[in-house]
Amino acid sequence: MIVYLLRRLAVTAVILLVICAATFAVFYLMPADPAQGACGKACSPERLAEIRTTLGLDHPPLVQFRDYLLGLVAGRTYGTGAQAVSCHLPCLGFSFQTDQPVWQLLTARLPVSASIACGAAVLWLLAGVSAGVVSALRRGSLWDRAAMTAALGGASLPVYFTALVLQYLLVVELRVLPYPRVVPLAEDPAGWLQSMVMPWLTLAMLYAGVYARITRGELLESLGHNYVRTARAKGLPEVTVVRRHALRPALMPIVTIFGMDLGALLGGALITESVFGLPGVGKLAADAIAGADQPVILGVTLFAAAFVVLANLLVDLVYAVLDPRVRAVG
Amino acid sequence: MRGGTLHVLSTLDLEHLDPARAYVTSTQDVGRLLYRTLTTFAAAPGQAGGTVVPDLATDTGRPSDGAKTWTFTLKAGVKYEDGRPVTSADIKYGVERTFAPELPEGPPYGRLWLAGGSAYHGPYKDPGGLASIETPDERTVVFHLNRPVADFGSAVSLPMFAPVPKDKDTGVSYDARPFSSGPYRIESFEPKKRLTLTRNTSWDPATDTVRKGLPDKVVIDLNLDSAVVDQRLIAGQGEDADAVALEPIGPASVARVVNDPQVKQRLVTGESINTRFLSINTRRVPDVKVRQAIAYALDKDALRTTRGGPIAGQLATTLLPPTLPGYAAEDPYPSPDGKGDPAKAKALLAEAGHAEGLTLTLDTVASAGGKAQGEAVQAALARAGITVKINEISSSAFYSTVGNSAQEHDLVIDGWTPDWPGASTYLPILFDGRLITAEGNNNRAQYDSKPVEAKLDQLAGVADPAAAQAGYGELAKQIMQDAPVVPFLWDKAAVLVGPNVGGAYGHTAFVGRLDLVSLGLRK
Amino acid sequence: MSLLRSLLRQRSAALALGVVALLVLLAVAAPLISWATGNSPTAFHGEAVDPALGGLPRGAAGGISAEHWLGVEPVNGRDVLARVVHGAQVSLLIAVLATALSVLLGTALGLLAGFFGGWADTLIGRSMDLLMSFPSLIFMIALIAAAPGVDRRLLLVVVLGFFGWPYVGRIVRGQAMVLARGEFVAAARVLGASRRALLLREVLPNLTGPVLVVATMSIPGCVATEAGLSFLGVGVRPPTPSWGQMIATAVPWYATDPAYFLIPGVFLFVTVLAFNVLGDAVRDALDPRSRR
Repeated sequence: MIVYLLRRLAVTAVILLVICAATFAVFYLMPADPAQGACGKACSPERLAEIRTTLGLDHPPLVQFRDYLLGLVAGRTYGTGAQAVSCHLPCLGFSFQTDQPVWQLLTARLPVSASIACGAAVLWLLAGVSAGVVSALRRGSLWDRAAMTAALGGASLPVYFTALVLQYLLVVELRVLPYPRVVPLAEDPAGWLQSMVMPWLTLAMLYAGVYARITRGELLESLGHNYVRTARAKGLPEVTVVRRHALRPALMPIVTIFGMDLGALLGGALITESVFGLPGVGKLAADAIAGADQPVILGVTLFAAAFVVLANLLVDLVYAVLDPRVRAVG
Repeated sequence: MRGGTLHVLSTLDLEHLDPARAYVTSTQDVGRLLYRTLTTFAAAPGQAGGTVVPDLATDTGRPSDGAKTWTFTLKAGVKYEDGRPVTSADIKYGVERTFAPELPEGPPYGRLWLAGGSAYHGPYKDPGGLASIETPDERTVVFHLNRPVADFGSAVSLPMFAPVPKDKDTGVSYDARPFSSGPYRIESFEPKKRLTLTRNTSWDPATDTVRKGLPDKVVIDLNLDSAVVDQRLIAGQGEDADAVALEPIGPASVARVVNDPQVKQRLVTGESINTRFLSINTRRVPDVKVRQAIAYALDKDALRTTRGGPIAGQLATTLLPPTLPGYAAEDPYPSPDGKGDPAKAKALLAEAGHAEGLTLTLDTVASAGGKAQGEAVQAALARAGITVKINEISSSAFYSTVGNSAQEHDLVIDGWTPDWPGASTYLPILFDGRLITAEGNNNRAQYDSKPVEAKLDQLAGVADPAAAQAGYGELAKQIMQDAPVVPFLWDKAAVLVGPNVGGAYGHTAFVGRLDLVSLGLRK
Repeated sequence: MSLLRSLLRQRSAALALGVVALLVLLAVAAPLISWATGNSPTAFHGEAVDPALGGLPRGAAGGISAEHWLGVEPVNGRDVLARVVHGAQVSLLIAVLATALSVLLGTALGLLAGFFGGWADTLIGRSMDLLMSFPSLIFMIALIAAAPGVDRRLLLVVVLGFFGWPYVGRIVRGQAMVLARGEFVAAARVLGASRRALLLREVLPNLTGPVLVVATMSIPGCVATEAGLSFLGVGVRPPTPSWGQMIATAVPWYATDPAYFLIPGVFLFVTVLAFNVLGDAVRDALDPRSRR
């Protein structure tokens, strides 16, 4: 198990490194100049040169990349003397537009993204998986057809459209919710819940549709397998057959996808956060993109990728614990 | 009423709190709560707000030596947040900081006007200080200038003339925590998120005729979504009853505000001295007929609608707005309702040899507003046969890109607010060909006219303010003939105020936005 | 043709096919529609909006009138119908080309990996895993935002195509692996056919079915992503219309002019839904086992 764990960790590290290199290459070799973005209105050539030096942009790309990686594991200091700004470990870069380390910006925004992602995940898992299970068990029934039509509709909904429709209906027409605003959970739990309802629903409608379709498909497939037939033939009660023999293998691929989806959402629900104006990681990314704040874009990309990759790793490890065969093969 | 917490909702970030670097109106508005300057603008609505009154100083400055030497005496009993007195040395040090290349983006007047300023590099590199600022005693400060400056008393209202005690200077980090001499001090500051101000108990209202300092706390929420700010203030419920917006309402909210008498009553409109115009890069569009054609073709009304319609201001016909001394009414490129005259434009283009049309590139900010204005220019000029390509530039790189005279394209959506009412910080900065710089250029028309330069030099030496103003008015007419820019809007700001907020009026020095120092809560 | 016949036999699939055909027709006929209504997608109609209300369209439901069948955009008064049909042109073209690119890349690389195995398989397989674990939306935006001056339509096609190929490649690789070990390929090999001939004549034709399914499934994804990118401000450049861009400009107006987001939004939703239904139906028709 330990060997497997180490090997998976090594692979994860390599993937992150490659993502890091690719992202870095794109940002630092493209024509847009990060120094100019940080230089402000009265940008003199001297000031521009100074920012280049501070950011280390005067070094060759490979040296810049090395410094970036070193900063990631050991922290780094930009500039020298009175001008020096230190960026503590893990240094994901420094945003000179906001004068803050990217890591600090990210961690400040994470709670909002996490609230959105986790709440929505609970909703869509409950709705999507249960709808999928019922549909599979009552295949061809009226419920099945209705649920699958709804699921297909949900899976086809662009989130910004859903978000606007919900806002229009719930806020403008029915007035059951206040205009979206940011409420910290600790300050006002009821207000927080109100502020989260629309983002949760928006994401849950999309993902529940997707998950219902997958669950149904997987469950039908495993219900058709021999061991399920055997279990049935043995005369086990239907509930036991479904729960123990059909549902468990059917849920495995869902766990995989769920890991990836949740990981991706923790890295910021870009559009949802933008529409509702919620200051999560996704809004940070959208703002950074609008302002061409390259260090932040780079940081968010890596941060989000790390979540996906780590979620993958976690899912694999869970598999390995549940099913010893994986360890042998993996 | 005294007390309570005032909330300010802003869609932007406060660019710089450091008085040496604060050069954006919203920051200056907020800065007035935090630090005092030698003089400041009167706390009054309308044109009265443009009057400069004493603040730290006992008067608006005493010129001598033909306005080349200016002496200020500090009021007694003005204290910082820790109770120590404000001294003349702190004023000197504060101005010296503005020379430091480490602290860029502030106004250029120190470098431009103070004797020996061009060779001084700020207190970090030259700890000896700048000899042309003298402090004969703790309450007197004397500025020696390299030329006569008739309105230096207005210039010292800028935040760069706020006091900074040397032992409190933290260099670049001062931006996050300036030391307070005003009615409030910083309790906490999270950039791009929230600035919380709390009462500075050492501030003595008896020494301050401008600031009321009514609320106990001022909480400024930053970087909010514009639509969210509008919606919260339209509803005006709970905490938002005690809130005001820092920026004007968005076009999408106008209908909701105007159609609801209860809300409309809470919309405060302020005049400004800001003019918006389309700059035409005269080096790339050298033919004056083409520029005049653009001036005729532009649909000013459509441009104004992108900013919210008539509540966003009055259609501009010339460079100087009516709120500015020296304004002379004229409309050299008239069109019905300001919607443009494509026929006239086409005729001029044909005369210039462009009967088949031409293609120009417009630089805009990559934002919803920038895009909308760009499309309005595009659609208007298309009617005259001019194809406009839009070059979107991210907001952070916009000014450095269009200020780079080699990177700037043919057209730029632009504007200017003088630093104080008067044309002396407007026309000389924007239309002097000798001031065109490779980077950080303000003369985005890259306009270079010898007669205009001669007139500018002559006006700079005029000691009588009224004569100078009249002269600038004439000069504006002269420049308009060459059409280096096409003015389209004289801004007004329509700002929403929560139902429990009193004392709200738009201030001309802050582009018509609310004067924060006068706000208080009703209950 | 048998595919078409079996699709038409299903009511939902036939409907979806009809919707898709109608959309394509609208997109192709966009200039014709503009000509017939006399409204170009870029012309401003200042008289159709009320500046005193911040540029709100005059009249009900976003200014729907005899001249403007689907109303006008607030502020500038541009004709929504003209913009929606021209936007359809942009959206569908980008989606189809991007899908074509990812199918091309995915098939080529998937075949290479599945058929030859070994290090080619390792390399390509790992690249696919990597690309699929990328936060692609952020990366796409950054990539597009970082390349100024390039034609956005081309850039969108390339970026969408590039991030889409692993999904095709994965399936092609799997199928190719099965086929490469299959009896008829072995038989062909015994008969002395070259590897290339095998690839082209034996393996490739057998992949048409699964590739067609992924391609149909990929188009709605591309339409939605393109609209999403336009929504986030990195889509086609103004004044070229696109659904995503229209919805993005409609966001602040949702309370005062809901028609403005509803119209392009419904078009987008219906397009994505129709392609999804069609994708399901194609899969079911080609793979009866999966019919559920």
